[in-house]
Amino acid sequence: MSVRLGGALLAGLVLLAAPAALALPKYRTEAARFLGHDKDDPLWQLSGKVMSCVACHTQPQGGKGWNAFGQSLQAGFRAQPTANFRTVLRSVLAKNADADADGYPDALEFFARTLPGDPKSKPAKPLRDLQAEFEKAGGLPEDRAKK
Amino acid sequence: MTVDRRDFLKYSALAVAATTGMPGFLARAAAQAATTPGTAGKTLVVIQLTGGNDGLNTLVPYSNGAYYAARPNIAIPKKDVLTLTPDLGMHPSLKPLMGLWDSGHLAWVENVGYPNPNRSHFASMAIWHTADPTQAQAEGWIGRVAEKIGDPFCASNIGGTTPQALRASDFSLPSIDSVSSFQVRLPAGLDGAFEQLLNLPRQGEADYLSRATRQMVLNTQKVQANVAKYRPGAKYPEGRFGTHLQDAARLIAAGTGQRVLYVSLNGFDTHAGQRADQDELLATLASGLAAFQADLETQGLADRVIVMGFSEFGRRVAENGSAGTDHGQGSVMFALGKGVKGGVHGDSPDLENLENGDIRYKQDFRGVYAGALTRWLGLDAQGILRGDFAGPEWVA
Repeated sequence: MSVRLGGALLAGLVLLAAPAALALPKYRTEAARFLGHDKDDPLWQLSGKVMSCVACHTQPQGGKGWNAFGQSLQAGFRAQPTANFRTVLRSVLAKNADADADGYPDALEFFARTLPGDPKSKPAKPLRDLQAEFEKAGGLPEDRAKK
Repeated sequence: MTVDRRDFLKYSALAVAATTGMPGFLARAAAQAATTPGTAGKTLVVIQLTGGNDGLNTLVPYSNGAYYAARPNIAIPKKDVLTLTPDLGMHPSLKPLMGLWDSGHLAWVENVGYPNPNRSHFASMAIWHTADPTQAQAEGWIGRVAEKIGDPFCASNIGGTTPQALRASDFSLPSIDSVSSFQVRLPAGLDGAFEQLLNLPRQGEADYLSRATRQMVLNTQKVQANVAKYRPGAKYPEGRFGTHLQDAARLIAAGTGQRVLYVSLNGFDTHAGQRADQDELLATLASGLAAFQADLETQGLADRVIVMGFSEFGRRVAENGSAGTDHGQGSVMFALGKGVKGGVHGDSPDLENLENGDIRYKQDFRGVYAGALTRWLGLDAQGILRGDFAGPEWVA
């Protein structure tokens, strides 16, 4: 009985702690929603795999230290200091740049769920096939909405 | 243990709340209506800006070159600032509050912080909630207000989870997510049985308890009717913040007699693209508060309510590489209402004498709390804050 009670208490504590420990910071949340990655997993807000911190940061816990794509995004904010996150993210992706120089543009890497700031992480499909798939899907989210 | 009539009614209210599912504040209001009609007193509405609001872009030191040098991308241009003094002005999104400033009912407190500042959201918020920079205390300062008054329903959070500020050592003050959804409701099929139980002939203390409970239910229905009668005297902005402020006005207008109401606005953690986010948040804040104040005026309650706002910390003086700002130390507080002594209280931070890139705070936030507790609520601030803290005389 006491073991069961202890287990229940422990489970309760874990559940209480979960929202604070696992909640996505707001920029990750916004990016996931903007790019449609929130559809990948019903529990995406609790998943470290959906729009992980290393999409932009060098460390898994985020914070200071930006990878090549993160630095592109920072430059985008400086170029448009009064624009909101979605506007800046969209304009950076619309440049069709390849921040990590792995041969795949950043927007295609997000489409393929690989990391645009890490050259070791790149899509398995050939660039041409992935580009065709991306365009067939409508391109960037706002372009898709217009089509 | 002796229980006087006032205590008896209070405990009866609690009993009714427990047995009927009646929201505690209504039971409390009913108990209050039964004992001290018309002595509801003054209310303090606390506004929490969650995430660390950037004080320098809120109350802008527009005459200070160091401010513009530190923020080449995100500083508020001098031409956009709403001028308050020869050196300070408000963020343009705060325009809906200019009328309150002009009428002397808006106060800013400069350079507010606490010893050994903490840059963690959770730790710093806990410090503001407990009014204890050593983080040794678990209960909140409003929880201690409830303990001091001896009333577990004297304050409420409007929103989801009760903040630590409203936790006492033995209980947590209630959170009300939506005032309009509250009603006296028994589980299906039990309402008749409950009424029969109340109407059973009794004698002595049991009879007194039955009568008191019946009276309480009636009084509670009256309070609920008052809640239902409320008609907003102003148009509130859409969104949770506006809705919660309107709920606060509704509770005050209904005469629930609560001493402290707590409303939060989230999203001030502006590490990137600060201007877009903070501009919008401050517009939400200002339009909501302007509507709240206009509503109170219409209801004839403006002289009984003041608002006090804070955030867990300010931001660093220099902008970062993402056109945002990182966690800093010290910030501004604000207060508004007819009971507020308008103006800018305290000195502006010296932006050329920083501490590790942050402003050096001068005013302990507990001194600002003390003003609300002593001068507005008439309570023993020293006992509640567990220390004697001086602050500006921002309460008129």
